[in-house]
Amino acid sequence: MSKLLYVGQQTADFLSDNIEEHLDRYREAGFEDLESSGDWRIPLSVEVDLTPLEDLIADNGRDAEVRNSMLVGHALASLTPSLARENRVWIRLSHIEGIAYARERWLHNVSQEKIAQAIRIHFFASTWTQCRDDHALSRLWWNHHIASSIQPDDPERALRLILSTADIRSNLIERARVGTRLPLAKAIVRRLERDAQLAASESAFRNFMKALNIRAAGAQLEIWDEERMDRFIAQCVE
Amino acid sequence: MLIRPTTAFAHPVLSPHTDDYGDRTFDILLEIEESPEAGEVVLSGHYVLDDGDVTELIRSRQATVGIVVESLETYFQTFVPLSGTLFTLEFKRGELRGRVGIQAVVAATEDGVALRSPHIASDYPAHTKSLQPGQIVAASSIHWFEAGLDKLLPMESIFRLIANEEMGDGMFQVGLDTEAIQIEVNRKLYDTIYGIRGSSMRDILLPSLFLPAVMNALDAMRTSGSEGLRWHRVIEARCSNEGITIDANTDLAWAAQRLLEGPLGLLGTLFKEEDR
Repeated sequence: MSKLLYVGQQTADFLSDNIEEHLDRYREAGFEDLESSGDWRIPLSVEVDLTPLEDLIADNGRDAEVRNSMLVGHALASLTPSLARENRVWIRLSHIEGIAYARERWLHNVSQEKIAQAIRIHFFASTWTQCRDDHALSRLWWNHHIASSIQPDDPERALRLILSTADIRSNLIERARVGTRLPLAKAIVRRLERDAQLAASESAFRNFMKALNIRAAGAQLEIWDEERMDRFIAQCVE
Repeated sequence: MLIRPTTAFAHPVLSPHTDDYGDRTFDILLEIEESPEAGEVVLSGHYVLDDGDVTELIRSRQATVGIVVESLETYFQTFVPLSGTLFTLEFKRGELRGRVGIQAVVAATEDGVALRSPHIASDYPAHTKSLQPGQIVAASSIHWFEAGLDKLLPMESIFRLIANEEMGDGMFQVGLDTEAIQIEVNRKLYDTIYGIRGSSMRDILLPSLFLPAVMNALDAMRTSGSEGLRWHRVIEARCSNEGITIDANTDLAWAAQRLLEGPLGLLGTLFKEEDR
């Protein structure tokens, strides 16, 4: 275990303002030589073991995304949500410890014209949505964090459901006003577990979410017990 | 979930955003203690409710009162039921960051909860005054605050002075495409400003240089495109903390002066020092 490091503001600004000048480093050379000087190594009072990052699989399939989310979630288990919004933590990780994965997963086969934009999206976590959905590593941490909130005893099971289609992730995670309502999110995942048709059909899931958004708006469903919540979800499926 | 002012209900709701209960009120008095470095927040206070019928619904447990806390930037939302009017809510695991909304809500807990307050507007038909569990009886105003360190960063930290020989004498240009706001001046002015920054006259830069630069930045924030840049995040956090909304109607000069804490006021101090 060692202290989690983040980069100073000067380094964060320098990297973000000079992506074009560093394309070779992103593609191949890396930033190890720059890391040895300047403010690349500011320690946080958070102990982590980053060796699991070496096992990340640069594949875009669901199985890899689930496995990678579990690896990052475990490696950075002591990170709080507030710290996980700090983009300088993620800039350090995607430029040093996780660069091999980030490069292979998000820059492989990207054309010359698009590579700078891909780097900006997947290496910097500048906005909340980039942090949650786009950054090579923070996206995985947030996947795991959200799945752990929904199913604390078995986040991997929740991850398999949440990441089963882009549509489910987008409705549950990217529309935070639904996903953050934990009793509701838990009930949706319970339903997805036993309703293969709902999980597999894009149109069925979209119609379900539409009904849910209309019916759940303006009500404090958080006071319901599990049974009533499941009944409500069943009505939305119908 | 937070009940936003735009949410429409088919039944009467006691709220500052409706006239459904005449002059009756429901709100919270709130104190916020924050240790931003540690990611810890304590919210304490009490709610004020002066409608007898709603109070009785809570007392008889036909309705429950609780505090909703929403922090979408940390993917956090909770509803904490209260057993009295006082509350203390502790968030010590970095749950809150960015714009945080806090609201007291009263919701029905049983089938067929009857709303009988004599203050309810007379145009509500009888059938609208019977609620199901979860339906909203009352919602306070939403109290917002900005959690985290961004609001505390000095405004000076988002500016970068650049020497550019193409700039004319005494002129500056503001660049907003980089992480820090770039202020370009020619070498002579660069040296002058650099010298002032290290002297007791440095405060003169706030109204003369930073004020128009912040106005430019606020203007750019009216449209999308700069959200990912650091200067945008810092100004946004400060605006949120100060209750400043950036839109087409914002008075940019006024907003910039508030963000820089009335920079012209520093001139008086500077001249006094010069006189001495």
